[in-house]
Amino acid sequence: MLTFLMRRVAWSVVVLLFASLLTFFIGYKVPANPARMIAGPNATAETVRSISHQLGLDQPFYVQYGRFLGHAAQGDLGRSYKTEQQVLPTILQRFPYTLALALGGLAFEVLIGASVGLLAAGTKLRAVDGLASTFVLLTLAVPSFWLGIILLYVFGFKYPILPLGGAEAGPISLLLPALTLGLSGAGYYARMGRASLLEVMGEDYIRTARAKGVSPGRVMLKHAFKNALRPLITMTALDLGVLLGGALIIEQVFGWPGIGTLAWQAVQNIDLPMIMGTVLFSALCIVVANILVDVVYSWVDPRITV
Amino acid sequence: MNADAPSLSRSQLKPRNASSAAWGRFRRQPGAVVGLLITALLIVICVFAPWLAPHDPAVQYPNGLSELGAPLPPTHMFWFGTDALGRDLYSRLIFGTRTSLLIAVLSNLIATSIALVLGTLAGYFGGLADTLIMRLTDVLISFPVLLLAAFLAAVLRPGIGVIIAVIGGVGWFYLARVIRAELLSVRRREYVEAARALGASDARIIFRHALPQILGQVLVYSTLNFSTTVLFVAALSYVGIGVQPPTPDWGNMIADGSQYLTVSPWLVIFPGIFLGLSVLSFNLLGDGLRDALDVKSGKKAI
Repeated sequence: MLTFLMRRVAWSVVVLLFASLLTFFIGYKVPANPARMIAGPNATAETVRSISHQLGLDQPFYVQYGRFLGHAAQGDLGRSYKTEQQVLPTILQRFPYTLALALGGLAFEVLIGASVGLLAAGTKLRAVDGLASTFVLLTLAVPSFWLGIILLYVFGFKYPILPLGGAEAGPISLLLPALTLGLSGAGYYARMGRASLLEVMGEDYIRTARAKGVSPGRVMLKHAFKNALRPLITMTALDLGVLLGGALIIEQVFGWPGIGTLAWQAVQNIDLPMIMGTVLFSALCIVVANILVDVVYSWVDPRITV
Repeated sequence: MNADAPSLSRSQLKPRNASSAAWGRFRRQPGAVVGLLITALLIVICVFAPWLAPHDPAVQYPNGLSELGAPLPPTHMFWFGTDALGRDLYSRLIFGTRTSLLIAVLSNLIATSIALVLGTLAGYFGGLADTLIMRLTDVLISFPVLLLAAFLAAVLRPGIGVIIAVIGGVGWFYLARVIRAELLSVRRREYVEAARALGASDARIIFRHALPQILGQVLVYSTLNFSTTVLFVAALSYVGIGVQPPTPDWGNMIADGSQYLTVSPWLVIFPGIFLGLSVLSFNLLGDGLRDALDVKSGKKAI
C-alpha cells in the first residue's frame, strides 16, 4: 500500500512538472510581449526593455523555467502581471468559493443522478425507465451555460426569488450555480447508477438474500444499493478533483468569484504567472483526486489491494 | 408455400453481411433513427444555408428594431425575431449552424486522426512507444483542458483555424486509449498471427487486418466525441475565445443574447434549442451505432 502510494505520488509530481513545462512553454512562445502589456501602449522601447529585464523575460527559456520551478518549490508562484498580487495567496483566497460551488454541485449531481438511476433500475417499471433515460439524454444534451442562463432568467428575473448571480447574497447565491452544475452532470450518474444496480441485481448474493426470505425492500436497500453505489464513489471523487480546479464556464455565467473566474481573467489578460498558478492548481486537484480514488476504493472494497 | 417447408424468412435464408445486419439493428431503434434524421437535417442546413436563410445574416435591418431600438420578438417577417443590432435571428442561426458544425467536424477529424495514429503506435507496436504515448495521455487527462484551450486560443489570435486546431489537439486522448486497448487484443488474434507468418509487413497487417476490425469502435467513439466537441466549441465561443463576431455561431449568439435576456429571452432560447437538439441527435446516433455495431463498452467518450 505504502509503496503504491509513493509510486503514485512520484508519478503525480512528474505529471505536474510536465503540465507546468507545457504551460510555461506556451507562455514563453506568446506572440504578445507581456512587458509591453505591463508598460502600457505609450511606453518607450527603453521602458519595455527594462521591465522585460526586471521580469527576466529576456533570459533563455530554460533559465526562466528553472527559476519558476525554484520559486514554485518554495511555494512562491510569483506575482500577477496585472494586479501585482501574489499568485498563490490570491488562488487560496478564491478557493472557498470554488470549494463551496464544487461541493454544492456534486451534492446535486449525486443526489439527482443516483436517485434517477437507482429508481430506473430498481422499480423495473418501463415507464420509469423510459422517463429516466429521457432525463439522461436531456441532461447530456443541454449545454450547462445555457441552462444556467435560463435558470437565472426564471428564478432571478421572472420570479425574483434568488439573486441574479454574484456571491454577495450569502449561501443562497450558491443555489443556482450548484443546481446548474448538478443538473448538467447528473446524467452520467444516472446512467452509471442504473447500469450498476442492474449488474448488482444479477449477483449471487442478491439471490442468496432473496432465498433466505429477506423482504424485497430490504434486499434493495441493504444489499443492492450499497454495492451499486460503489462505482459512483470513483466518479464523485474524480469530479470533485475537476470541479475544485474551478468551473470556468459556470462561474462565468453566474459571476461567481471562484478560481474559474480568476483563471478566465488571467487568460484574457495573458497574465502568465496567474495562468501558470491556476493551471497548476487545477492539475494538482485532479491528480490528488485520482490518488484518493484508489485509496478510497481499497478502503470501501477490501478485495482490492492497492 | 408448402406447409411442410420450414418457415424461414427471406432474411434467414439469404446470407447477410455484417453491415446490413448492423443496419437492421440500427433501424429498429427509434432513438437512433430520430438521431440520424436530425443529423441529416443539420447537414442539409449546413450545405444549403444561403438558400435556407430568408435574410442576410450580417445585415442590420432598419425595420428589425422596435421604435425604441429594442430587438423584435418573432414576427411574420423575422421568424425567430431579431437581435440587438436588428439582424434576423433565424438567418443567423442557419449560418451559425454551419460555423458551429464545421468547426466541430474538422476538430473532431483532427482528434480522431491523432488518436488513430498514436493509438495504433501504442497498441500495435507496444514497448517504448506505448509507454511514452500512454504517459502523455495520463498527463493530458490531468490537465484542465478547457483552461488549456482557452489559454492557447487567447495567445494565438482567436480565429476559426486556431479553434479547430486547439480543440482537435486536446480532444484525442480518450479515443487514443480506446484504440490502443482494442489493438492490444487484436494483435494477438490468430488471423494477425497468420498474416505475420505469411510474411505480411506491419503496414499491411495494420491497414488490412487490424484497423478494419476496430472501425466500429472508432466510429462509435468518434460520434460520441463529436457531441462533446460541439458543446466544447459552443462553450469556448460563449466565453468569447471561440468564433469571433460578426461570424455567428451558437455559442457567441447565446453570449450576445444573454446581455438582453430580460427584454428579449428568445435571443438565448433559440440558439440553445438548436445546440441542445444537435447534441441530443449526435448522442442518439452514437448510442444507436454502438448498439448496432455491438461495441461492448457502454462508457461515454469524454
